[in-house]
Amino acid sequence: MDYALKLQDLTKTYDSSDFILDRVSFALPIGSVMGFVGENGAGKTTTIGCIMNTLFRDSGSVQIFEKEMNDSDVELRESIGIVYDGDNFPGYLTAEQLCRIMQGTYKNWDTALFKKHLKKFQLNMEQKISKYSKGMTMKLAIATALAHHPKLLILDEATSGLDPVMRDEMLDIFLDFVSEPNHSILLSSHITSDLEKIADYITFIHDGRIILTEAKDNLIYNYAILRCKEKQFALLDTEDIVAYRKREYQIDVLVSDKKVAEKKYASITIDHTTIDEIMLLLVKGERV
Amino acid sequence: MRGLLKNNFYGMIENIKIAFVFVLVFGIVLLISGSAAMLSAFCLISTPIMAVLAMSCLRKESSSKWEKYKLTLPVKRNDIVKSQYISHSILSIGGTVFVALFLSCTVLIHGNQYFYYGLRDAITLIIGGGILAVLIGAIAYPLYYLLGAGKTEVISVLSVIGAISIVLGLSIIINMISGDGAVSNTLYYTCLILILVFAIVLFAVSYTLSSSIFKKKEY
Repeated sequence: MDYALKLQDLTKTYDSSDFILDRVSFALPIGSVMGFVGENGAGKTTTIGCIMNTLFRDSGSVQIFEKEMNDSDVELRESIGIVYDGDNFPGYLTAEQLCRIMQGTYKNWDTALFKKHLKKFQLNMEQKISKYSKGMTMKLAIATALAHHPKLLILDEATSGLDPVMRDEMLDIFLDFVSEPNHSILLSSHITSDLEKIADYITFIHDGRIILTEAKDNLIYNYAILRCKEKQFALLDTEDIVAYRKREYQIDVLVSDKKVAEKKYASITIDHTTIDEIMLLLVKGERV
Repeated sequence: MRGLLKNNFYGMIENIKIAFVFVLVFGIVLLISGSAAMLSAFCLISTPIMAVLAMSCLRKESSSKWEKYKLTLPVKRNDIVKSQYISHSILSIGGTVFVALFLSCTVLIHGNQYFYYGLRDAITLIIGGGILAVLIGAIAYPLYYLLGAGKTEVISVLSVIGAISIVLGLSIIINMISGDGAVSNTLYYTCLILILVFAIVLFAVSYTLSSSIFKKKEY
């Protein structure tokens, strides 16, 4: 399988904090969307910083289209579009000026496509970015990321500042993007419903560590939650337990194979699960 | 590189407009009054003001994620630093040309009542401002990349004081070497060229230093 992005044992420490990005590994196959999910401070932005070389890793490897990207790999960066959460661009610029800057920066910059997106998003080219709302600045960042025909989109909480209607529109744009051959997306988010809509794979990160990386369909259709009583929980085979969380009247147990669990534990209530619930169990729950 | 230079230009343009009006008004008052003191001040202040403006865009950029975003663009880190030095050079040269123009007009209107040693005094005033501007940049940029945008104001003040100190220091050294007697034109121009070359070399060294600092910078 060819990968748009492959991280192997990526490690990063900071002098000024105790946070450690600890041997992060995952791979994004070409033509797919990877949801990168975790709570605030889990290490999503640090990981993306290490991918884009805005942060320097201590060890491990990051391969983009099977190549380690260093500072001189200008061509490789031509093929990446990035959107950060918040203000990507200085407020004193207008979209028109930003367009001219990008025209002088990207070989494949497509002014017509940029203007088309801006028109679709109802953004004024002459208005200063400082006058845009948060949603508008995110739309501008997305239009900018798409306008140089990248093959890999890296979106760091790109939908977090948008209302549900706008988020839905953006997700459709991302789906359009990924429907083109060889296009891939890494979408970091804590809004799991977005990931459920467009992701092919989901990687969970917590406290700087990858706790699970899995195909989304597998998570939705094969993962399940057992609602156990204390006694039932004690009888469970530990190999079946991905994570568990003690609640007031029951113990929620995440299992990775619903059919096997249904056969083995016929007396226990088994529910379908959501990405949100899986994340909560992985983050707040315990491992055996 | 073209995109980065445009970015710097857009970052500076608002301040340039304000500074240009200020310098223009200053120049017009000078043309009308023909004041000798004003001529010296105009020549030595205008170009450094323009140069300090080149640094202003760095401060403005830091309020967004643009510094981080620029690192994801298809440009090398070195090019980002280089674009800043090129913008600074363009503004320094522009300021010098502007000063030369107003100085010439003032002399044309009011006659040469300003320069005891003639042309060499005029050249000293014009180039003096340019040298100060170059030295300000040479000191400011490595400090900026080292200390960050939050310290821009302090860095600007330090670099202006540093540049003036260097020029004064060099002048004192040259005066000590040349002695108390009258300095010949040849010696004078040689010294002026040496100071100019020193400033340019320092600017080049500063660029190398800034590049090496910026290569290790994380955003």
